[in-house]
Amino acid sequence: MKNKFILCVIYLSLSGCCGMTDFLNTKELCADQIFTETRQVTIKSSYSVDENKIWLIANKITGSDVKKALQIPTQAHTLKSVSVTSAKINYTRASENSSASFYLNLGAIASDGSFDLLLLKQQNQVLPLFDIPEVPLITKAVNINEYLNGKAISELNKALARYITVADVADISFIMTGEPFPKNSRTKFNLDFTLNVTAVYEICRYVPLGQGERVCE
Amino acid sequence: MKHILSLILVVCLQSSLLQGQKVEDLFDAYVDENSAGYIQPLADLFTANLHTGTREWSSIDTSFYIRIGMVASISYPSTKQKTFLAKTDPDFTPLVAGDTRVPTIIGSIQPVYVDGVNSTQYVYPGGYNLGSFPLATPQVTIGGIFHTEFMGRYFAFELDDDLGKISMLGLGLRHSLNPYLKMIPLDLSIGYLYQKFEDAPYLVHNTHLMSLHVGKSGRIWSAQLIGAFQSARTDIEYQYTRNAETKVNKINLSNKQAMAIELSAALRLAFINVHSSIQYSGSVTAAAGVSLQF
Repeated sequence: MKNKFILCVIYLSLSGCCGMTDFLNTKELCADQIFTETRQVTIKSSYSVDENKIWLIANKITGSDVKKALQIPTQAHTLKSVSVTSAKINYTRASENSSASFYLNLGAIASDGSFDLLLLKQQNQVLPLFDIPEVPLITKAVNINEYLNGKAISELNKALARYITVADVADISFIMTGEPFPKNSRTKFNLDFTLNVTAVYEICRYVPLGQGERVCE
Repeated sequence: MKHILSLILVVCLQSSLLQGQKVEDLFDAYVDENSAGYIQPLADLFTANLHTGTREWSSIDTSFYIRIGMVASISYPSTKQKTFLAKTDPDFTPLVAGDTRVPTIIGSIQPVYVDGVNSTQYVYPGGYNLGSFPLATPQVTIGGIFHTEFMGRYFAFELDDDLGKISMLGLGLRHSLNPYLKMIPLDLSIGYLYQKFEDAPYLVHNTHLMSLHVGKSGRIWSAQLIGAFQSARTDIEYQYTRNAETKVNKINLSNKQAMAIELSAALRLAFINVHSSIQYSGSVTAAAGVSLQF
């Protein structure tokens, strides 16, 4: 018993260990305290096109898809922000493709009509197809941050935040429209649109007093 | 007694790493080249912690002895260890290359935001505001064998909440130089200590400590100054998920601070030894221990 006592005294004089709380029958060493954590996630929307006229393809993403991708812990938390960090596209030309290029528009639309965003500054962005080498018939991912529509990205940040905080929320569709060039040529390719997103949230963790930002209410 | 030792060890580790959180949650704030800078100070604190308070007594008795005890140590991070220079993700525009000072895993809780083009924003995660890093280890020292003493540390147990299976092994020896340098009125010795700490399957931490001890001791007291060269390697491996894909991130770290200096004092009352140390190796670590000597 004497040894136990000495060990406890030494240890407690050095630190406020949470596990000692139960052992010493006291609740003063530790408490649930707030920490700010981040999660980064990639939202990818893939499109496959085989057309010789104007096309429109929509990829639907549900609120649970966003929540699942972000992997925010299931325990109670307060979302502080959601930010799009970057966006890129990469596309693969099929060998049967005969279009030299295509015009591209990217949008995000809520199924309840609460927003309708054009994600690119410029409409009908021209993307070459025959510039892609024969092997491996794929572009390197093209960073499109410079081409993003800032206002639409701000709105999208808010919309994504709603997806995380609100349980019953409308689906969001990432829409790609385009047209082959020259007209009526066969456009056959796959395109991936990727958004890197970061969520910041506050969460309670049980730690020694003074370590967290403040005690959870 | 076994229960108490396990409790203290569990307590130290869990309170340090935040209870109820998975190991990958702690590390995967970054999965890019910023990972190393983010985690490095925690590895350095760990090394400092393991290397403090390991040698209780300045002299090595010529008659056989065994000491069985416990060493509790606590490291306090320096201000420098709370931040590191980080880079934004290569996909972010404009690219900010390594000139942003942001929190390490033990640094400020608050994230750092960097505005990019067209309302994009990069977020450097905050840390966990670690004020101190405690650890306690059981230790056995056997000495008086050809002016040499041998030291061992070992424990193993499983943590809850997917925090892994902990094990630690430490083996060391120290040899007295006094038989060869009889004219010197001080206790002189050299030592080597190897320690391996493992949190399977996430983390392996290997350390080597080579030390020179200069001290003075009486019948009931001892004081010593220890100069040491230390080398440590930390290998971290964990799974993380991005876009429904599970990937593995591997981080390999070496210690930043090669030299350590430690001041130690001890008292012996009958068969009970009490010792304390303070060590500096970029951060300050204090240790205290109690052992029974036979």
